[in-house]
Amino acid sequence: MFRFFAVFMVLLVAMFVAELTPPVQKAVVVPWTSTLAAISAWLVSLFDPQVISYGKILQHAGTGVGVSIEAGCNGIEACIILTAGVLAYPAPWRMKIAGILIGFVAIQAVNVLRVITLFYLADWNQEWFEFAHLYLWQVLIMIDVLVVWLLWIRYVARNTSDIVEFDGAARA
Amino acid sequence: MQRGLSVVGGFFVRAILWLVPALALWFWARDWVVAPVAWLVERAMLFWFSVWVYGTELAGTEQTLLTTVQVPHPSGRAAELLVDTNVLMYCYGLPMLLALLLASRAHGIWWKLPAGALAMWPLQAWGVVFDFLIQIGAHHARFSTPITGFTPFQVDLFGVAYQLGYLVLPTLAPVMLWLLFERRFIGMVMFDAALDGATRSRR
Repeated sequence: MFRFFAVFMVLLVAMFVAELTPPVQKAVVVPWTSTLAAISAWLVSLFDPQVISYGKILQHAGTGVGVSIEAGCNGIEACIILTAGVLAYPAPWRMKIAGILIGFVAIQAVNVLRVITLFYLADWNQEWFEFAHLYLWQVLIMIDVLVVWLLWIRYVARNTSDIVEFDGAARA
Repeated sequence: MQRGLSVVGGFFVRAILWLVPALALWFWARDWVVAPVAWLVERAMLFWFSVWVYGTELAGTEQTLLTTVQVPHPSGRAAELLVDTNVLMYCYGLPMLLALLLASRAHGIWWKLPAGALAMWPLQAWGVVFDFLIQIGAHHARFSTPITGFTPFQVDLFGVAYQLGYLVLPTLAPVMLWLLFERRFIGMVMFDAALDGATRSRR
């Protein structure tokens, strides 16, 4: 278990620091955040055609109310945590890659839901928006990460011949 | 497969259901929740930056850092720079840990929750301390640098530490503590899955 935590923390800090560097921000974070806003706008426009997106902003053209998707709300940190958790856990590489890719989709799907609910909460009630934005959705996204990781380690245990203990040792 | 899925699925449903009352209780008690963290923040700021910090004030969940950094006031006279932050933004790990412990039907919640809270206080204080430092060192650099002496590299480090303390630690800390406390549950998930895999391969 100590090995898992140590590797996890090293990978987490390394990827997190890399994420904050200008090249990664420019090449990954900013384009992804814009894409997230566009996906959210497209989904909302299916039943509310006045919703538009530009850059990282999701806005209602009629009321003018909008939300800006900032760091922490684009799901990238959550994906970094999951990636570190998957990479630190002893499993075959093909399973790790599958876990990271499927996990990214699962986290971002929930994150789109977060963006859309926050968009409507901002229009409805500022206090509830603040509560959901600062506390509720932060916790829900992390629970999502944890559940995805638990499902993945379950998948690994089910599809490998060894039972891998949480401390990294393997038993036949 | 169904049984294995239900271990994680049941945990997920229970976690969401327990989160509602846990968050409600935590928010109701928010002024008490932030008190120990705010105290730690004040001690840390006074210990490391006593040259330009002379205390903090806590009003509800808002903590204000009192500094001797001089800033121009619209009246033409000099004023002391005060920066504030909402300490509660760093403290939502407690209801999350409670929901996770209840969801995994943990034994000994009576000691695991206080122990978890105690372990999270320094990490929550980390977030608040670097929130203050990034405000002082970056947002008010023009006035603060002569007295704080922060170099651009130090301010960059504050930025990374602040982002870590704001974006990662508040939610990661309760999960790591839960993993530490509930290795039994992880073992149960893996054993159930392995059993399921063995049953499937026999068919």
